[in-house]
Amino acid sequence: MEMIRATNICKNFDTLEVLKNIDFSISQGEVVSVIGPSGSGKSTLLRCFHQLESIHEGTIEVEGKVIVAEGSQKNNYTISAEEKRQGVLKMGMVFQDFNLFPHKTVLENIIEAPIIVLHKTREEAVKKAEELLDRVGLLYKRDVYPSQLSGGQKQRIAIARALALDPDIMLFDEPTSSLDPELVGEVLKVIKDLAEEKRTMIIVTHEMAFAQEVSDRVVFMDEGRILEEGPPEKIFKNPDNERMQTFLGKII
Amino acid sequence: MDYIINISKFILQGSKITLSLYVITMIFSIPIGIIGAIGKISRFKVLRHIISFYTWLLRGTPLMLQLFFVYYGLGVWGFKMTSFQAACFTFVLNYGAYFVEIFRGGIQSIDKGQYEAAHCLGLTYKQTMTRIVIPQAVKRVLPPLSNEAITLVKDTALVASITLADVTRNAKQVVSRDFNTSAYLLAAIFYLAFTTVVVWVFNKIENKYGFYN
Ligand SMILES: Nc1ncnc2c1ncn2[C@@H]1O[C@H](COP(=O)(O)OP(=O)(O)OP(=O)(O)O)[C@@H](O)[C@H]1O
Ligand SMILES: [Mg+2]
Repeated sequence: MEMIRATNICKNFDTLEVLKNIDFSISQGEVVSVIGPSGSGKSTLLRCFHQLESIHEGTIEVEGKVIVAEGSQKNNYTISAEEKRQGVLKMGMVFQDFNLFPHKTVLENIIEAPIIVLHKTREEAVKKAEELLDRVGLLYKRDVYPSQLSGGQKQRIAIARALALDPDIMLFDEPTSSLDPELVGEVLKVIKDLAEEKRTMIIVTHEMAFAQEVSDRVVFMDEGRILEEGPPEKIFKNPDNERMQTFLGKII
Repeated sequence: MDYIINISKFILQGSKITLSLYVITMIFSIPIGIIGAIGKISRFKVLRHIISFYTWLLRGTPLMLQLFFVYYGLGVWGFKMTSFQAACFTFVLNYGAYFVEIFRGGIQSIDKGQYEAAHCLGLTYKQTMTRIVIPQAVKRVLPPLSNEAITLVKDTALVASITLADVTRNAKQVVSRDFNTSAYLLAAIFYLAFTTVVVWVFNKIENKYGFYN
């Protein structure tokens, strides 16, 4: 089954075209890494899925339901605010700089949305949160505030918080880019764990070795376009695209 | 000594007015500040303009002039109020205007990432504001809020000008009657004690919010 399908999406910031006629899809259980130079539109693409950015053209479907339709497609669909919200809830988002709620403890961060959005009971939410905390190895940090955590720990909590809503798809926007090098590993380990479970995931990353290791497919973006995509062996060892070759040459 | 005790009693009678005006102003102007701040950052342009006009007007003219206008001016137009009602009305509006700007600043200082995280977790705008943004904004506005709370202690003395028998006016009466300025000293002690309590209360609240960074 197709979990997300973006068809011909375009996005401008004023006169700057950031996404140019992007077609993208991901099927159930697939792990896709998105790589590319800075400013190529990787974050913007993820943010459009989550409706943190609006698009000017194209459609976005989540699990077969169109949740965004703009430009020439706008009149073909009527989408209620509730449908949009339901679409958003199917996707969990992990940000580069965590965005934990500083005034809530680790546990409160995780149970907030399950309780007030999914209307779970507190006991249910806490039980699930503790399982997730255990899973990311931070159960002992249950009652501390985010300011008392290291970057790597914050990001693991952010992942647990997103998972608490049982999303069908996880989106990661450079989850390790604001971490000290020695903390990157603990976060990648958690993500790798999820990948092994065959969760559907899109990971924007600059960690090439990691992308190669966990992905089923790698997407290379440059200047708002997807220039090349395919299995990691192909993309990393034998890219067709010249820009991709230069990009990899710079990094590796 | 008897003289001091006597005039102290008289001056302290004025504290009823001073204290009740203070409490009423705080209770009503803070919600006005929060609601006004939310309106001022909303997407409703007309509402934003109305609130901007309100804060511009009330912060841009002297509080004493506003008092005169409400008490004497509105009376002429048929809005009769007692001097105490006029004082409360004016102070609530005036302090509300300052609090709108303080809370707006506090709310806007909250990182965009907080809204984005809340959105991705499915929170509605209202839930995001009430559960995520405003609780954090309150912590940030405590220092300016406590400044205003201290200023308000002293601003209450302005109501003496519309014949309200507050601490300052009573002290002044004693001084003109007895040609003895110790009444002023007593009034000063009253205000100092009052501001000390206010500072203490705000320190308590700030400590309460000190649980996170
Ligand atoms: N809110 C915004 N307003 C204006 N321009 C923006 C905005 N957000 C992003 N851009 C621009 O859009 C382009 C794509 O940005 P985006 O963040 O998607 O790139 P990216 O591929 O994620 O880069 P990086 O690897 O540095 O994170 C950049 O040129 C950026 O400057
Ligand atoms: Mg980015």
